[in-house]
Amino acid sequence: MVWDQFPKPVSRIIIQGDLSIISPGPLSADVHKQIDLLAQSEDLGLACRFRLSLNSVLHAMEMGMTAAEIEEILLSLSGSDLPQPVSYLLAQAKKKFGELTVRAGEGQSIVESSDEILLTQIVNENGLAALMLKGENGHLVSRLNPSLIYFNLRDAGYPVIQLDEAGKVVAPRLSQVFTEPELVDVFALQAKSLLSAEAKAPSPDDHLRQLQFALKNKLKVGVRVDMPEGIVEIEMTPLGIAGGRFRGRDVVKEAERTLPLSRIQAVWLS
Amino acid sequence: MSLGPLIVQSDRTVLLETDHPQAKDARHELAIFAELERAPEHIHTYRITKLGLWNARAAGHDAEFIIDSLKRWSKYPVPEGVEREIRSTIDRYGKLVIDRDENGLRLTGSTPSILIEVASNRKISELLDERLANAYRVKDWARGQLKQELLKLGWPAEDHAGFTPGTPFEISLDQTLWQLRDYQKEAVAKFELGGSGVVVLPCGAGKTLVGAATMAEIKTNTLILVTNTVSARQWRDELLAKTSLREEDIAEYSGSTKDIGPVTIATYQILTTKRKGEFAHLELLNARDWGLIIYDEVHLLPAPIFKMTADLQARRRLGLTATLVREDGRESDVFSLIGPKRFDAPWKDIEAQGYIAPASCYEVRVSLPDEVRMDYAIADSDARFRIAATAAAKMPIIRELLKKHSGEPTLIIGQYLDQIEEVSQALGIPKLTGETPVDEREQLFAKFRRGELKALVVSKVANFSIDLPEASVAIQISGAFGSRQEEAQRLGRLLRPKANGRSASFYTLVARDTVEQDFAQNRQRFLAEQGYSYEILDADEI
Repeated sequence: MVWDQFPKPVSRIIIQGDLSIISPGPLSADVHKQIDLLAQSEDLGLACRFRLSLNSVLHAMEMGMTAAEIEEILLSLSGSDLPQPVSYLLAQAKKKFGELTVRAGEGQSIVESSDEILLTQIVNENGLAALMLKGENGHLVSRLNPSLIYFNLRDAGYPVIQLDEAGKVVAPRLSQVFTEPELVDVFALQAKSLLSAEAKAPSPDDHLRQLQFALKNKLKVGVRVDMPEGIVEIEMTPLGIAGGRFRGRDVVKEAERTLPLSRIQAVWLS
Repeated sequence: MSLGPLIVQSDRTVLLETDHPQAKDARHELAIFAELERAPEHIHTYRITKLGLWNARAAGHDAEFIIDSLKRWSKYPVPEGVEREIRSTIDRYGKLVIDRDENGLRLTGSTPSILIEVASNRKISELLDERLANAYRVKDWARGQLKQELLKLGWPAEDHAGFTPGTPFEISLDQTLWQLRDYQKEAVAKFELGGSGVVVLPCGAGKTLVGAATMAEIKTNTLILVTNTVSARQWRDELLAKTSLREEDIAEYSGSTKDIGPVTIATYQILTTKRKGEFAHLELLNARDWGLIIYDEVHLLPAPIFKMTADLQARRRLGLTATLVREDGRESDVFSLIGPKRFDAPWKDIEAQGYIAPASCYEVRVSLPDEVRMDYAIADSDARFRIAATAAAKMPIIRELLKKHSGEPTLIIGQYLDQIEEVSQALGIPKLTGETPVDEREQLFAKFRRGELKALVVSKVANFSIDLPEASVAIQISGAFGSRQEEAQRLGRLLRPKANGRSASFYTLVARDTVEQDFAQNRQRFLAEQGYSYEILDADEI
């Protein structure tokens, strides 16, 4: 049987003081799914490595988990006490969650916090100048959309969360979460994916996030853009995203160019 | 295949489960051919690199040994690609040999095709003269450069051209009050067998003594190259205390003194000093018929010294270091010009033997008062780091820590001179910076060592090669974080064996929610990956 030739999946994880999570073998699909929610994947080999960070824990909390539930999952999967830096991180995330929010107002985004010094710091952050945030009645406003503000603040290390009109936490990673039907034949899927070189174009909602990801990790991207001269595909090295525009270096023409995000139809990592 | 402690990944990393009953045996074999990248508490990550494999080959291990070892300890099958690459990499070592006949240096090849392949490279052809039977004549001066270029091409040459014995000089160890440790003896023996190469030992494990013992074995005129004058003086003191050498046998060649003797200690800085565009002190390298050159802290060897070392291939060369990792990525130059790794002892092993003290690391998060937070909020990014690093809110924590570790020898380490001055004044503790004259520095260190001084406030100058045997607490109040080398050196200050076996403590004070905290993440990761325990505390927990 093919099944017998594969290494057996493991359900145990090892959590370390450097905030890494390692599976001592191929992870079972359901455990993989759980870890994927609360840690950033770093290495997907026979043994997988993930890393916890304030951002990754805040993402899990945006998905509806509490710090206590995250702790419970980590404890039960590792079967041992959490390293002190991990406990500290969870406590820190619990404290920070909700401290800074962004939501849509009338034709603008509103960034709020009870900590006015924090808002002052954000306004003075050079790297965030392109967000055009300005102070108004004890909060910050910008004409850019809340998602863009959210992603840029997060990238700059601010623990912002996004709220919808009803004040409920939005989970921007929601569509990225891997949902898997029950009783799926994992190995058949793996075999199929290995045999197929076909790449799937991401959904339009993913474009911004993929560009953010590529920018953060210094990865080249291919973009399909609706230009006045027609649809073109360009390979670019991302340089920045601001003001509804994506700036990058055209790999072929060796020139910098700026594209309106609204005209980007597809993005893929090249 | 067994249910062993290793997982070999197809990206050539190898994970070792340290809690596995066979972990210790597997680690000993793995260390021969793979470089340890990360060593947090449960899973260590090694990487199989070309240099690592060639180091193993130079030490006499073949591809079968390496592959058998991986298969024996691996939990899952070893990926075929990894196995193939190990074979082909190992196979390349020793196919070319540099040796010597009565007419001079030769490059010989195991097959004509390899010789033709390398000789057709422009850079290499410039280093060769006429074609001989299955060999090329090598230009007299080109031995080092040829090894460098061959390594770049992926054909590392074995160097069998031998060494000049140097002018003999009687040196012996005086072991009346101490004994060379087993691992130090082993390091010396392995080096002697190879004739040139690098010994890797953790800070505090007695690298100077390995140097001294090597000198006592080879008994020849020796040139010792060190990072700075203070280190030079400490080498001299150690040699006077632990060998038969007398004051008149040891000369110092540095910015302040330019003497040459049978044993000469020189700084990298003086060798790389230029006058009118030329290196002004190159004659030192040929001032005597050196039979041995020792490179202290070889991972810090400045680039021009590599070039000079390329011309010194006929002399025995011993590199000493705590890490083969170079921030500039020039590990391959160390391999080709100083020599392969001859000995490597993981610090955990030496710690287990009680020769270095365990260390615990603490990051203390200090909250800034609102007025300072506001200064920080409106400052530009360059000024922000300084505001965070020099925050006055750290002062009470320093006091608390000094109280907590009262009586223990403590170093307070800072980056900014005005902050160092302030702390020194406020706490009445002497300071030591780059501006402190060498004599005063030595006096302070001597008092510190004798226990007359319990604390010192020091700047970056204390980072490198300074022996402070009884420092057991360090409080880092500011610093340029992120450099692995600097962190390793700082911790190295603490890892000296402690008379009472107490554990060393390394505190770093970090301003909360500032860029300093972001930098601290790098440190946390690095130190935890090095296997140190790491805790994050709030200032009120002290």
